[in-house]
Amino acid sequence: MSSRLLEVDGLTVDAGDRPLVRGVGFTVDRGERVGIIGESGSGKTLTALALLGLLGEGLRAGGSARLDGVPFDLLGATDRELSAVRGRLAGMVFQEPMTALNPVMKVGPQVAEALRLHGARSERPGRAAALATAVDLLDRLRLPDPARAARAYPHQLSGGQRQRAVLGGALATDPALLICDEPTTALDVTVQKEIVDLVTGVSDERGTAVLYISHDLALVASVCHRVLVMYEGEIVESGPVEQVLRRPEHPYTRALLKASDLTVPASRPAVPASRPPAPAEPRTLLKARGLTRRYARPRRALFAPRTHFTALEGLDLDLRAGGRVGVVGESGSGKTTLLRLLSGLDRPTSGTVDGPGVAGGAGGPGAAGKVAGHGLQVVFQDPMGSLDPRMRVRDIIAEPLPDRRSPAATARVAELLADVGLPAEAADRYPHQFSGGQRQRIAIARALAPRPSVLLADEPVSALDVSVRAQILDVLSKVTAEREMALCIVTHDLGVVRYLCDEVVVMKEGRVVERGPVERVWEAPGHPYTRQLLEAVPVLH
Amino acid sequence: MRVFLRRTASLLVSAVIASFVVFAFLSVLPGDPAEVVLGTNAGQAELASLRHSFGTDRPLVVQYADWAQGLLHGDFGTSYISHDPIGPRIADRFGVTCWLALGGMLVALLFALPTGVLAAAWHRRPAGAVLSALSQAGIAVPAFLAGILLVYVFAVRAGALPAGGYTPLAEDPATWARQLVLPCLSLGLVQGAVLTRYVRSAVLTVLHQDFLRTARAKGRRRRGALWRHGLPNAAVPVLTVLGLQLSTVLVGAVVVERVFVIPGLGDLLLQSVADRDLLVVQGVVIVLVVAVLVLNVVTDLLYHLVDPRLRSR
Repeated sequence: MSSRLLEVDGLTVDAGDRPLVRGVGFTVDRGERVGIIGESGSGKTLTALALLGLLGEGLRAGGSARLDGVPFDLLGATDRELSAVRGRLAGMVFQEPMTALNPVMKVGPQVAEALRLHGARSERPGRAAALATAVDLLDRLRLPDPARAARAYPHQLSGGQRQRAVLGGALATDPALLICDEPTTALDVTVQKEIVDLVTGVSDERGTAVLYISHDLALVASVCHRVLVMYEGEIVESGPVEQVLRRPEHPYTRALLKASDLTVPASRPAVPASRPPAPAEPRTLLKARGLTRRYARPRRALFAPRTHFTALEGLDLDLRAGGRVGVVGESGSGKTTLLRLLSGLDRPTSGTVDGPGVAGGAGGPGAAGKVAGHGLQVVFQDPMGSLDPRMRVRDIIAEPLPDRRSPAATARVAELLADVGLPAEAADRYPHQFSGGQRQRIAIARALAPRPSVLLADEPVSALDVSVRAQILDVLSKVTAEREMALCIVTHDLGVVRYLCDEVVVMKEGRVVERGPVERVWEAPGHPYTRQLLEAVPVLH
Repeated sequence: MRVFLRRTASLLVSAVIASFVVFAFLSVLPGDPAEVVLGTNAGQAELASLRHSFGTDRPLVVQYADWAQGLLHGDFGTSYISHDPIGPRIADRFGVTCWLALGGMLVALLFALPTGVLAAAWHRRPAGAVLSALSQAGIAVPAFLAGILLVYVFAVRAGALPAGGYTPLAEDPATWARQLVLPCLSLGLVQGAVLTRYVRSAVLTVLHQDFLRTARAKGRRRRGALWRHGLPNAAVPVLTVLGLQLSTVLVGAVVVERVFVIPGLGDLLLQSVADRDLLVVQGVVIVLVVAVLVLNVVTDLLYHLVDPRLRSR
């Protein structure tokens, strides 16, 4: 008996006459876990969707793909033929657990759905039997209180719980092949580890082959036996994980490896080291004391006492000139609340912020006058959404300046563009004409325009590809070092903090659990939660 | 349940405000009922005595309180012109208008749901474009024009259906139904054309949702996924529009009643405006306003029923 499960040959995907995937060929054996690595636009997701006939409108697939036990070619089969394969022989898990489930249908029936779609009509389980199987499955996927989760609607579950439900739906029929498309990209690291452990556990236990798509090299290395590297619609390199990561042959693989390795201190940019030795006591630009923010929950009954949700409790923070502080936490840790309070976008329930973001605070717009280095600016997570699509880059960057039509403003825009590594002619173009990384550079230039003394950044690289991540961090590092600014980065990505920051603040459920110099925390984490976070991050060995 | 109580409370508040506004509007309009009844050359003494018997010589606040209190008991007062109690007349006419509005809405739904879903499912095919264009053209046709066209085709040329009139359901159900077909069609088709656009866009949005792809990954066929997962989700935005449209249909019925000589609320309203029978006008308007308010609350509650995300908030 052959152990070959999937054999793909010459797979292509075209949009009209534009080729998106070109001549992709690979095999997956039974029980084998194969990773596809690539950045956005590399064609890795399209490859997977094409196999199951789930490509969007206007996309056409060609080539051949044979799945063991299926008498026809997957590519070129009709929707009716493929629907007998999907969910029975091959299951799929998608990237966004928030939208992958039907919001108006209970979780249990969605997990059980595949059970009631396949096989001879007389042999299909009844509604109740299928639901019982679904609850068992959710239990196996270690969902707490599975019976209750099955009765819940998707919005009542957390992201990790939803992803387990999606995984359950894909595994319900015990398929021979499981395709995972970035299943943990939208999740916290500790949750990511749980999901990944589940996938590998099921695969080992049931002999399920896995096709695991991700941009995260270290993650794929921890899951898969073999890896395919995709670049611009082609497989540029493939082989056992060890071999590809140890001795990458293709220049792209090498570049990717280098870029994604934020954890190696040796790759730290030269700038921080060449920073002039700080004066004995650097200026404190922003001082927060006892910051607490509570939100009132809606009343349960008309005369019930109001309950409160504490998003942030008793936080102290100092931002000093030239200092770079990283605030790390998972979703719900209160890190975004903190950023909103520091920037004056929200008011604390108690505690004080003394800094340029707050009216009357030190170094505020009205305080120090027009001296260099005042004010506070924020760089946001999503460079697609945070730039006005109808404004030219020149106007976006010049907007905070006093007279944005003046020659001085034009000169300043050119200077800022150069600082963030963009050509001067970028000023005349619109945001949509740039890539994600370039847009984030524009956002940084915009934030620097009014010469702030404090720069806050909210997940500045989480929406970006690995290869540009390091570049953006380098830009942030360079511009803040040159200007003696205080930088505070809020992120879930520990690698980013280690790469960029001197000091780290670890938050959990609104409280600081640990803080200190980055290297010290990495070498000897004091709090169990910090240890848990650090261990959850997949690392390349 | 909490939502139900809250919505009902806000309904009551709105109804009180509405009754006040309606009353105030009609009171500031020129035109003294006593003068309307007696004509322009009536003597001052006669006018005063009639005003006294109508109660219009009292302060406005007292008049309002009196009227509003009556409303609570279903007493709409007595007509200045015909001296009949207004309540029963409105109740009679309201029933007729309700049948018309319900029929119209039914036609609209029967037309819009399949057309909208197909127009969305086929949006890349010529057939979908044709359906879209048809609904676009339908929106441009006013209801009364549609009514006249329908009468011309089905009543005048084909002679298949009566061109107008109304027979109560209890008297002769067959004639009742035959007479309602054309009015309901003319009211419903135009509303249906509008609704088609919304159904189409709701279904189109849903077609691109991730969970539809998840359903297909589990082995649902394209059509099955749309039916089982897509349509329940598309229902949410469509329901909002439906609620708004029910109100429009109720008001649109007023015009259609005119074309088909149906003795509904609209007919009564226009009649009493012509007669300056202000108390009747006041009664009809408040009934229409409350009906619209109730429809809105019902839509809101349905909304909570369809979308579990609203329930848990």
